[in-house]
Amino acid sequence: MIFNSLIFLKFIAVFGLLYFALKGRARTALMLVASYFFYGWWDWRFLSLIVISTIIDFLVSIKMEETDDKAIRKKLLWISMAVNLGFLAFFKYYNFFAASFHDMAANMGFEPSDMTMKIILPMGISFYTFQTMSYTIDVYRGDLKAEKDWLKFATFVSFFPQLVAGPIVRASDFLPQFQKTHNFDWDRLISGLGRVFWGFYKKVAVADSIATIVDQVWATPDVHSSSYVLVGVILYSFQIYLDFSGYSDIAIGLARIFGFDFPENFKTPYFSKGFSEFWKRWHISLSSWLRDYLYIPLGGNRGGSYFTYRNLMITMLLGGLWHGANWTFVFWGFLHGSYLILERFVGQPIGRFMKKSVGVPKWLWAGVSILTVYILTNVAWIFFRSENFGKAMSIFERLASFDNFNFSSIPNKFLIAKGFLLIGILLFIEVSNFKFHYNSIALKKPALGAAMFAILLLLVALFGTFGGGAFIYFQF
Amino acid sequence: MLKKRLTWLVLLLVFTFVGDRLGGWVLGKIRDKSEFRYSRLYTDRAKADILLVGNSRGLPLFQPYVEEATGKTTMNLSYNGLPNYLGVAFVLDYLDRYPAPDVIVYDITICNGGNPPLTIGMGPYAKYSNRVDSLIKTVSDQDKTKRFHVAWQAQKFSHLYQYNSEVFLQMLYYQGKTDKYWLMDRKIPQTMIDNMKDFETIPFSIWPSMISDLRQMVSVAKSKGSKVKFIVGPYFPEYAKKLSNLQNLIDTTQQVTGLPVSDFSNSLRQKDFFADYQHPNLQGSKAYIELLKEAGIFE
Repeated sequence: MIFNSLIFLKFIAVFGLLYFALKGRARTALMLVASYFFYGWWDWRFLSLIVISTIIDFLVSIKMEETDDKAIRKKLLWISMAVNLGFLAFFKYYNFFAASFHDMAANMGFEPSDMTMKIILPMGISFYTFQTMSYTIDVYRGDLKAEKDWLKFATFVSFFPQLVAGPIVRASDFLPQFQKTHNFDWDRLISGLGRVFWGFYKKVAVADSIATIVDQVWATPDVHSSSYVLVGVILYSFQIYLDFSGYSDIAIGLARIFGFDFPENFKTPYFSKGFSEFWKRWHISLSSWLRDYLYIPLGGNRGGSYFTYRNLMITMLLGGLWHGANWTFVFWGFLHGSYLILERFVGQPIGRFMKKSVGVPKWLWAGVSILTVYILTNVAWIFFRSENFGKAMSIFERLASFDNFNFSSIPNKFLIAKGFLLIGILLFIEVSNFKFHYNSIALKKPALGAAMFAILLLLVALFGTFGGGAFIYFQF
Repeated sequence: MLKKRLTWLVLLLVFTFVGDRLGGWVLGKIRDKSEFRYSRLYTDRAKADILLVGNSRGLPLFQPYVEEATGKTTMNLSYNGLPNYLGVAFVLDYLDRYPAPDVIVYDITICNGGNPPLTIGMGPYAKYSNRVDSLIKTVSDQDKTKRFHVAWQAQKFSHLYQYNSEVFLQMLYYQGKTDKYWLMDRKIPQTMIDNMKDFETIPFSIWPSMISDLRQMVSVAKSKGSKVKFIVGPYFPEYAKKLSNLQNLIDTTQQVTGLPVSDFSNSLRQKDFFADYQHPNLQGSKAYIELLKEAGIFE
């Protein structure tokens, strides 16, 4: 089930009524059943994977807590990792590695048989496996008490707002929230609904509208003018941001209505002045997961420059692979790893030099940095969006050719103008929100709040693309 | 506390309803003032001696060139992806509202399947045309996915939503602009030409109702005193060879309507005359219109 569907509207209406009518364990049971229903609507067979992950991690963590024997605790952790990573490896990466092995062997002169299989990628598998793995690791480390209530634990693993596309919620953030009563709260309803509407605006009105242009450019880059390809690349940077952050907004808003607080997942990432800052603003729940469970265990920045760079690169390569079983994702991770290394190696010293020795004003350097980060991020997005390196190179070739690089060679101008207008409105609201805090206005001044909600609804009615595609991050 | 919440909800409903109606009214004014061809059609600003109709392949029947070549006023009702049933509806609406034109030039390659999104997108003109209104209803009723059915119902509910389509964006684009801006002046890229070798044959999707619609249009046009000239516009030469059932479309149209079809599908040979496989560019348009003139299509 996807948020931008009619069935979800019916689902959430029924769920909301029942949720506030029930109390205690009955309510938690409702959350679990509804979450399984939500996931099973897509394909009920894959519920079994969630259930198995849940059972294994629930039992393993309790056993882990019962013993002080480090060897046993380690074995238990390995069981959990083997199950979760095993699912990921089979369902998400088997064909990738099989095909890569096949190609490599063929290049070496062998004639291997085709080992790929027809495997359906379970929706959101990377999200919920990372969520449960973080729980088991936290219990292993002694940072978290094992949850003894299977109902609460199963609900934590599968809670529908963030089940298939995050944010990746940590058990230490989520489970304690069951202690609260979660009575109906008007302020939470208003602020949560505001967030949901905002997410719909991002996804339905903006991201899905510009998807048409992006899809056209990526389908046949060779036949378009370089100016149109450039427009497509710029629009993709917004499509992926708005599609994914829109989903996170809806998830956070829904959870808020029902009394739960999810961590923020995006903080205006395209205003980052550096790549380390970018990764503190983009898909925060994943980047912090990778930091806590991969980068720091690898040694983080504790072993000097070489080890820091090595650890950064490993983290970003695996971060790239997390997104999808394709070398283009790995290369995307490689580019971001390189950006992070270069930033530490030369970017920061140049920045200090320009500001202190050359006297470049801070605001100007900030502008240059933001633009540089944005452009380099776009370079990486080209690989992220392309199904293979050939397609990515076609995009670069068209851009570099400057062939028909003029305004008149751009088709669909009205659609592009609509996209940029909606992006402009969005950026204005996001930036001005730092000053005006629209959420508090909505709560304090009913007339203004209702007017803001009405404007959002009307914008979605006028510009929304209904019946549009699923969220991009579902495939991860 | 309850009063505050009720006030909030009531205000939200009122603002949304009033905003929707007010927005719909403003956009209605934009629709009526636009130079977009269907806005002109339905606000008595489309009187012409020659009526030109097609899908995107009708756009190269470029009005300024036709007017220059014939010395007559023209109105082009073509649009990207326009299905035949809408093309016929617009012609019949034209004949209801205006003195009969001398000639209706109709590119029959418009008879290539339906276009539910565009049909639903014509919602803003449903107010002016029972034909368009009923076509929207028919298309939405036939929609198995229910997507267009829901869209049609939403159009009845929300006045703003009626404008949620590319047709509205076109209305905006044509504020203060006329149709003389519509043709892209570009040449077919070599990559497109090279890619054509991989193409299989390309069939037209011809429905029986398309042909009966044409028959109805011809009958009404004749009764009003207009001549109908069926044509097939030019394709990129190599692409034309890939069309598998074009001749069938031509034969069926001639048989059912009793009118000849002038086939220009292979008439432009220079690759510089094309923007892509199916569309002559500005230069090609001029050459195409000269050919039409020589063949007496505008007479």
